Amino acid sequence: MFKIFHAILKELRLLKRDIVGFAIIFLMPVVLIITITSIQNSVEEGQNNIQLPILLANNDDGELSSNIISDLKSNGNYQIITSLEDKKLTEEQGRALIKSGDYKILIVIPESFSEFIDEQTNKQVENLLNQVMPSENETVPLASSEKAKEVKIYFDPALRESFTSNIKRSIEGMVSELEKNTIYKSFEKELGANIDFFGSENLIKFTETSINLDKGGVKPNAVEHNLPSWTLFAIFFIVIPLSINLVKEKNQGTYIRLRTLPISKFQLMMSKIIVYLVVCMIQFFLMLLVGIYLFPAMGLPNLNIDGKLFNMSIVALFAGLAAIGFGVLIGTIAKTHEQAAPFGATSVVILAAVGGLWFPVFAMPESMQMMAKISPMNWGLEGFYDVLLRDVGLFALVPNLLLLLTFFIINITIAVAYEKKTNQV
Amino acid sequence: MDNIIEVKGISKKYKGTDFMALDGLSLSVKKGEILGLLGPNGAGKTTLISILTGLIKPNNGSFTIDGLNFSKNSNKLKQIIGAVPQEYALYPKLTARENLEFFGSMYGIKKEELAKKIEEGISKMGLEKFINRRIDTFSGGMKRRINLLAGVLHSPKILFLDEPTVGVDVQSKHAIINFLNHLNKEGTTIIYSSHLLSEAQSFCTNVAIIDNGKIKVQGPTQEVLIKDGKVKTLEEIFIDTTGKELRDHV
Repeated sequence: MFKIFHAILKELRLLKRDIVGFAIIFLMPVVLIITITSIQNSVEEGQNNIQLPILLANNDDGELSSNIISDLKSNGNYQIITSLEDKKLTEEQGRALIKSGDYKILIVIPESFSEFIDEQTNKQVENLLNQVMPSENETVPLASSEKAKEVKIYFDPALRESFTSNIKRSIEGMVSELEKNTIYKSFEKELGANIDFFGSENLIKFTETSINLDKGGVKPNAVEHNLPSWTLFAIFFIVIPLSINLVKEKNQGTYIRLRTLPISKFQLMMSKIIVYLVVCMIQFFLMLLVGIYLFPAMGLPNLNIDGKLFNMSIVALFAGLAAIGFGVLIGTIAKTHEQAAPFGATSVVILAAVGGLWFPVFAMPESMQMMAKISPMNWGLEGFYDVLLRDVGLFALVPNLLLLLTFFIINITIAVAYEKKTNQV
Repeated sequence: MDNIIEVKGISKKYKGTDFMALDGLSLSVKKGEILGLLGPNGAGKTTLISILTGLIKPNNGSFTIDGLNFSKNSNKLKQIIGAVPQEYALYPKLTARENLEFFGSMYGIKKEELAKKIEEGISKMGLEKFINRRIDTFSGGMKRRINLLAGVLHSPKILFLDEPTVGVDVQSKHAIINFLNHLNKEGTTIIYSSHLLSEAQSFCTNVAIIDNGKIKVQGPTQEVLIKDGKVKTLEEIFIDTTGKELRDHV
């Protein structure tokens, strides 16, 4: 223990002297979680305050297009621009503005759009009623699909497809609601009666309930979703300073002296594992403090860990072990600082992406979903979600904890075997 | 005097090479000797020291140090030997004191005793003013002196040094040699490799000239210097033994 204590002291002193490494370990994850959570929170909750400017070239003078414009305006998410410099916006002007990147979306309502929709709707209703209540009137021919009026939506190519799809769906939803109302009105007109079709509300309603609300829990916020991801990312970033530490030791000649000392490799390894595990836990608690105290002060949602701290700490501890095992392996195999640092950083980013830290695993291709199942970051993430969001007990965490521990043992075993082999010159 | 080191027929061939770094080398070193291991580049000096300090294993042959071998008594052996590698085997970001505290504690030396030994060593090396300075601020000579101190804090019975004075100024060289002489007088057997033949001639009690993995000449320095009834310099003996052919190895 005496020797391990002094080896630990040495590691702590080395860490203390490495200001850049220190910054990477503690400051960067904090900066990351503050930045990402602020952005995500504003996107999720502050969307209503931000109005997306949409150009609208209206070539129709009818009621339907007026209703579309008024619905878009009343939605609150969009700022509808129908004229420029007191002149009605044209399709050509709009396209030029989209092309230049000044605006992101242009909607073009064709000429006689309202008239056409009214006419087609009336004909459809008339034909339907003729079938139900036959009269001497002949069936009225409908316009062919080729002649259907087209509402064009232009998007800035720089916009992401997922974003354009969302906007398109939202606009289509509004238009289809107006179309439905036009059909109802046509029925009223044909039947000569004032009918209230299902009142003003939809028949089907959706209720969103988080599963742990049954237990009196609260709906998870952006902080509770982000904190596990970025804490794990921070913990795994330990791979970089740890691998560099090992490579430096090899290249400084101290490694040769260490091998002549009456201390086992196991004891030396243990000192590094203990020090870096402490660093991981400090990172974890630092992230918790940010979530609990700093975020509310910044107007962001706070982190609620009531009754969850112990189980979360256990997950952090095992995730730390997994990260340290990986760092030891990279540091053992890499021959230079230039090999260890970029490989360490890139592999952590890949593990994070594959592990579902940034994108949900279920949305990934099947092959990537398989990869996620063997990613230590995914095991850690699931562990944190189990505690924080699913509110499970310690026993339910065991499978993921065992996976993390196995990952640590495998990495250390490979590192020891590799070192033994390379020393057999 | 008893032999403290007995080497019998040691051979070593590195993986991926086609020559023998050591080729059936045998050697005995008596207690209290200062043995200079001399030889051209690639002769096998560093390989021999690496084997005797337990860094690498020989392919054939055996050796004992103070009657012990590495396969059975690795920790005991590591406790009685000191190794000073050619590289600066120090942590540049730690101070001289922190480096010495770490390496000393790895030999199990307790705090008070270690502090005393560090003070004594630092004083002998003339580095009192710099003990709390980081190694990366030291000159080459200062690093060499700390490098040596780190290997002797536990008062080893046998000290292995691989070119301990290479690339240092004359003053540092004197300090190192004086310190080594002091250690030897206190009973430490020293095995020292060097290319500095004049230094070896004056410093070593015995010399062994190695070439192509074999010992070509071995004996007390004063006896080795006499050849054909004439007293020669060690450099002359060295050239006579190993020839003038360049020894470039990659």
